[in-house]
Amino acid sequence: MVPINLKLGVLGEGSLNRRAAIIGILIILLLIMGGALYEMPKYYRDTEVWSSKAAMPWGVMVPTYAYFALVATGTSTLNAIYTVFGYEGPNKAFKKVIKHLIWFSLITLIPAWTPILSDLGRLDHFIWMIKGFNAFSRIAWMGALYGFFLVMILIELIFHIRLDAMDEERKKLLEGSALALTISVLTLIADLSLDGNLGSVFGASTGVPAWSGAYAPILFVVLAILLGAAWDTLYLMGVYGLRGKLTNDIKRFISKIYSYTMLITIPIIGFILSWEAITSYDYPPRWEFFKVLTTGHFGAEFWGIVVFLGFIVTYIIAIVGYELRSPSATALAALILIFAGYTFVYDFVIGGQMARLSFHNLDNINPYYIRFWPYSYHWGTPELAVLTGGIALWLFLLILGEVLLPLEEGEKPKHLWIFR
Amino acid sequence: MTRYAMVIDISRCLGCGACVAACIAENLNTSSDELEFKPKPSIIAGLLGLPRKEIPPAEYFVEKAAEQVEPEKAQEEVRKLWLRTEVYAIPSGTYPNVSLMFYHRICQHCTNAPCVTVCPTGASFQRKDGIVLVDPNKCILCGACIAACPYAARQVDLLTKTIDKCTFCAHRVDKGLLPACVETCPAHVRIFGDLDNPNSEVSRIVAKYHPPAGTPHGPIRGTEPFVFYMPSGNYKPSVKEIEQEHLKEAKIMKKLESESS
Repeated sequence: MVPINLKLGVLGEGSLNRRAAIIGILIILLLIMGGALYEMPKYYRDTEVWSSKAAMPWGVMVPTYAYFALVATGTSTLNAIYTVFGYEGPNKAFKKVIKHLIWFSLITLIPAWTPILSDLGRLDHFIWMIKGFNAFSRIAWMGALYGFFLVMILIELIFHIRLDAMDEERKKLLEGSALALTISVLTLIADLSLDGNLGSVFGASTGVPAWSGAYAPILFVVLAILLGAAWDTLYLMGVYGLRGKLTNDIKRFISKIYSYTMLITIPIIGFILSWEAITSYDYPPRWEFFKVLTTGHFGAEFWGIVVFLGFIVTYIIAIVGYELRSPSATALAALILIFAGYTFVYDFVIGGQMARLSFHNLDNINPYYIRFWPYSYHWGTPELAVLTGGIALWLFLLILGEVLLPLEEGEKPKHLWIFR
Repeated sequence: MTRYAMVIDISRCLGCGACVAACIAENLNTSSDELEFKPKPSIIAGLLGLPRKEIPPAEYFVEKAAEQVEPEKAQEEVRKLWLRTEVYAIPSGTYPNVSLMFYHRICQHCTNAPCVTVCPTGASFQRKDGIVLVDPNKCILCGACIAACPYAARQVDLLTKTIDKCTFCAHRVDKGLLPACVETCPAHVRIFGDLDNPNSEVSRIVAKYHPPAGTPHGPIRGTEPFVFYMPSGNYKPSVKEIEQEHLKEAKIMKKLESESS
């Protein structure tokens, strides 16, 4: 692979091909965003989308939002845990990569927020999230917690960038200071409370038995950490691979730490799900969810992608990655996990609502006589446009940040004076 | 304190759908400045053959309704647009031992209303008399209340793109009138009143028969609903009781009419 230096300074001095490649990627991403913007307004005129909400309020936008929100907070949780407990990795490899990881967490809010804000029927009433703040509503708290998270992660990023701009003596003093610890602890609180609260949004939905209850917040916290490990692995492999700086220390850090995280979190998620299934057996509305999840259309996805690939295959590969300290094996496990993770979140959100519909339409097992009109869910082109546009914007900003920001170890701010 | 409640005596229901029609007619033709009682789109009126009060300017629905030539399709459209209350038949048994019951779907105006709890903007709120309403000016249509309601009593108002639901005809109740569905029901299936008033019909039925609330099998997940279902058919209101109710209603109507003229 031809190493591409993403630093703008070097980019300027580099060959025409390298510059053209990066500028070309950015232009393509902008064009995708433009196409999405053209298609997006149709979403707001689509009667079918809104009328279907009476039976099934949350479509593809919500699982996509939840997925990327978990990735953003999960990657940040791992950063904060390592910092709080003073973990530095092999030859302080974690310190070398931390700014890249914080930047990734921060910018991953984009593909999370784009679909969820587009999915609100009346974004023009959004001011009431503040003016009419309902302290009992989990969704209301999501807004407040995102504010907290954003502030903390920005402080964390600026802190680490400024740290590298200092002389060694001051740097050492600040690294072990109470200020550094406080920043990391507060970020960790923001991460965990966001994941837990996001789980509670589903847990508080008494109308959808598949979600409601106390297990959703725990599941979301663990899932965020797992997804965080998977995305961090791929991001570091990608960034350092492209820069031609994938050193042995970084390879060892990735294979040791992220494989280890996968090996811990995969069985926990498996346990939570199995336990929920067993305890739901005697509660027909919740049991219906597990039937929907494990049979028919969802069944193929669940057994094939989530259980076989996401749990079993990934676990075996993660063992190989950990035991042999193989970054390639860890990256393969991470690659499978990011798809299996999305499939699981999608099935949890959409399948959960499908279970409510199918349960309430089966008279012989429905003890409540409550019925929704028959309904099946399909993605629409405008919905896909919103998702594609959000992801294109995310990648655009991610690359731009890698080019503009001083994210390498010891790199001094050159372009953005705020960090000096 | 007043606490409004409704009793639905399922065993008396004919399945005529007059309550649904009354609900549509009442809320379509109600002109009120209060946003929570905003009239429904005139398209529903058109589909039902009712006089249109006002036609929304160049709305998508007008075009769509023009295409709906078959009555069945038109009815389906109304069903999609109008779900404040609904009656559907639930057959059971096998021939010759068959039976039919009608389930009435309606907002339960729960004391522990999960829709009010989950609403992030305070658009869903509960009055002191227990009636749960939605302020469309505050609604962001996040859909959380739909997911929270175990009684499937909420829908999307396609014109305003906000949440809509049964209001217990609060605009009528505030004037001392009965909800439109209660007033219209020919079989006295729906009975409405103040549960905190021991002399009200609703109060006496609940005290005597302890009917389940929320569904004919009781509430779902501790929401404390205030629509009671009488599946047993034990309650038989006297003709005198019904006459008294209608007389009272007629007097109020007369008074309101004279005031407006």
